[in-house]
Amino acid sequence: MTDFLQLTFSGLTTGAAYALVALGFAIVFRGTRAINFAQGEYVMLAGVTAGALHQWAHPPLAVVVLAVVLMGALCGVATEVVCVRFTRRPDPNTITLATIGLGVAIKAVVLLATDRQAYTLPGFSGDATLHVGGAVLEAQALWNCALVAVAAGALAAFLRWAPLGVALRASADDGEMAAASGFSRNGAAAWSFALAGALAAAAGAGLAAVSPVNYDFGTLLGLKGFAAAMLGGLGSMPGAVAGGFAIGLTEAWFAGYVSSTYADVVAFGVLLIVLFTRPTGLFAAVRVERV
Amino acid sequence: MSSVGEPRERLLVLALVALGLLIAPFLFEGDYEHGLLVGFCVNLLLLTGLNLINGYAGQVSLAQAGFYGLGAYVAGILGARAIGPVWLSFVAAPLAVAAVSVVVGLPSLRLRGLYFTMASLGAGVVLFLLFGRAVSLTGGPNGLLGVPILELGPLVLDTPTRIYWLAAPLALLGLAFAGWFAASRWGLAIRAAATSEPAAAAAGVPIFRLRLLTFTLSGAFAGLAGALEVYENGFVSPEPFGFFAAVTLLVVLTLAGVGTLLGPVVGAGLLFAFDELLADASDVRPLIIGLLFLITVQALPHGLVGTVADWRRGRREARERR
Amino acid sequence: MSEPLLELSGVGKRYGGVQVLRDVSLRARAGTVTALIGPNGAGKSTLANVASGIVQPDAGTVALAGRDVTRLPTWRRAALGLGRTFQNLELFEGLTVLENVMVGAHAHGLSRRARREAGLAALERFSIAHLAHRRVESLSFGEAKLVEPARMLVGEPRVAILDEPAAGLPPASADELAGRIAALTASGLAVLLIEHNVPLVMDLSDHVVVLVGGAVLTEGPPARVREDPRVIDAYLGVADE
Repeated sequence: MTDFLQLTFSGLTTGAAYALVALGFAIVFRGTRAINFAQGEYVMLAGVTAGALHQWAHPPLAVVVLAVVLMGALCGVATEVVCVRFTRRPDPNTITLATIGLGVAIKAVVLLATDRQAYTLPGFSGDATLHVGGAVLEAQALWNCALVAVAAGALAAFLRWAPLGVALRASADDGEMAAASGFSRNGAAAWSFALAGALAAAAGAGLAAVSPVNYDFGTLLGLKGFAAAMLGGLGSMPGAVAGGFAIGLTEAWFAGYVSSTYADVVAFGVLLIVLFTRPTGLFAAVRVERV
Repeated sequence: MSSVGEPRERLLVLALVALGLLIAPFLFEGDYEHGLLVGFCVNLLLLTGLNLINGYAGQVSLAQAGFYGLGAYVAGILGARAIGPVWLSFVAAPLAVAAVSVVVGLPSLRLRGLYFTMASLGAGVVLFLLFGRAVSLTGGPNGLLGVPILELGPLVLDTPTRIYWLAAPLALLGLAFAGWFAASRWGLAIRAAATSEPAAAAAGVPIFRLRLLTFTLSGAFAGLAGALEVYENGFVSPEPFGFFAAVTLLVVLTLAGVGTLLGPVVGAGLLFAFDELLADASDVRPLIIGLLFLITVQALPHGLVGTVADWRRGRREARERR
Repeated sequence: MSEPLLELSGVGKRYGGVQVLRDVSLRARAGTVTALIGPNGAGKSTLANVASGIVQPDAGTVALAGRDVTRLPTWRRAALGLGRTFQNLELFEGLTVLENVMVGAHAHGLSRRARREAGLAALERFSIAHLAHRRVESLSFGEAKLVEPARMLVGEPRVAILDEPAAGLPPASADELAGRIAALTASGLAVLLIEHNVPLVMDLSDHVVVLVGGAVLTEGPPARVREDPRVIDAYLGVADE
């Protein structure tokens, strides 16, 4: 039982990160119908920056987190400007490919700037741990889950009541690609990227507080977060959260009970299964066309 | 947008490439240099294959690097464990990858555009992860050792130079095949389907089947490239077959010119240039690749070769109209 | 009466909560023009899509020269002799005009030369052979409109579904089009013509089917349909030419 609990706690921690990343994918998809492959690198950038900030200046933790969240939002806006606004043809395919390039570039910049150094943040509650049923639960894991709850709640409220949010919600029903360019003009695309960036930054800070992070950890995380978003249904917020935790837990249980070597493959196996059997995901938000 | 030149033009391109491949090893002498030339041929095969599915069929695939690795590992494992004669491993690689391409392609090619790309990405990453994790089979992150010398019957290809004289004709043949395919009935059909599926279907084109065929062919090219690579190196490790490698192939082909005959050649040249110019600054390479992709995808979607072709055609049509 | 080369029987289709087609049956016979008319939203496009295989019906069958093709995909129906043009120009951009029409011969397994010749011949029939090597995007609207029927003819169809071929054409061109359509039937082709241009339809067709609200309101020779008060009511508005 202890093992099970331990694995579950571990799964919740990573699941929270996946959920935040998946929410980012979901919201960008809603705003632009594109998939933002720079998402994982935002997380990495935020985590590394948070760690570096802490190492360099020791500001209060809340300041660090707020700072990187803001930076994440700005990164998002910068992405929109570079990948969407100034594009000759802002169609989802082109945007997606552009974000792939941007992601690679961001990772390279961080590599050059940090030279593979790892950074870490202190836990939000220091080294506090809880003991539940013989298993150790780091307080940080709870913080990360709380982050997800806050983020999901804030997003839900935003989508329901803010005018821009309502517009974003409507775009999920509207299959027209023209919506993407329309949104570019009134900035909804920028908003969705900014939100995605902020979410990723929160995840980055949360992860840096769990274990050391360096330039490399964002790529696989981003891809798994994408798998989570697809599992939940691309464009669905509750789906993203559910998908994130589902993959986090499945991965942890798999690592514990079946094979820790192949745990990383789980997320991608899930991605492929979803794409091949039910591309709309668990909570179908948008119709997926098949040939 | 793909373009297939007249047979005369294609022949000219092939002749030039053949000439280049013929004289290169005499211009650049030495084992190390010839090893690089083998690398050029390997990349040419990879890009030619990618061009089939990407350029002519219009389906962006991120699985090519994974397929490349699969070919390398299949050849390497069969060779290292002496399962059958060495030449068998060389032949088995493209066949194995072709088979896996069919398995991946069957469900993936039913998906539209971006979703297919995602599926190919997933497949590529799974392969990459397996290369590193299946330690007993592949040697894990440290790589596979014990790959023997490539022997094809009486031919013992134990130096880069000798392997080059196998790689170069294969690459040339591959390019010739691709050119022929693009101009054939099936090539025309998938190029048409890439622009309008309803019209192609209404014209009698079995779109899914042809795309599956194309995807399988591109996998076979990757498998062959992998086999050449592993025998040239005598070693294989997972590193060159991951997400970044897949992106690099895509970037380079897009920049060079997707859907053209010269595109893969220029692309292989670009890769060669990157490797040489950035050999000491390998950390800068991803930055350049990333930025190049960002710019190319938005500003130069037809790539270098494509843009030149567009320009030439524009002039020709303006002349005709007068 | 010649044999029905295209036969839809009892076709029904539902999208979400809406019954878009309801028990629709029609026949297109060899050497004749059967027109399908009806107000916007009546389901004409959906019916065309069911006939060509883009959409699967919930009920009913589609038969080509007596053979049930309901479960067959579009490309197979094309190979069996079903040709189609589209309401919105569906051309293969990036390819030349000649390449565009050569695709029509895909199912025939001909040599490259034979396909070229068939393509050029089809372009000749529509008087646009001089445009063979131009990129299809560079054509004027009127010229581009002729590429699809040429492509369709290369496939040597036995049935041709023409989806609003006169849309966007000036009257002179529409007349010319009518002439071409009439010529098609001379070789035994069965034409299903979906059109809004009522005068064109009435002059050209041998049989008219009126679709309203997803169901067949009436059908018959043009003269009779034109006078039918229900048709005038539902579609033609004030009794008109």
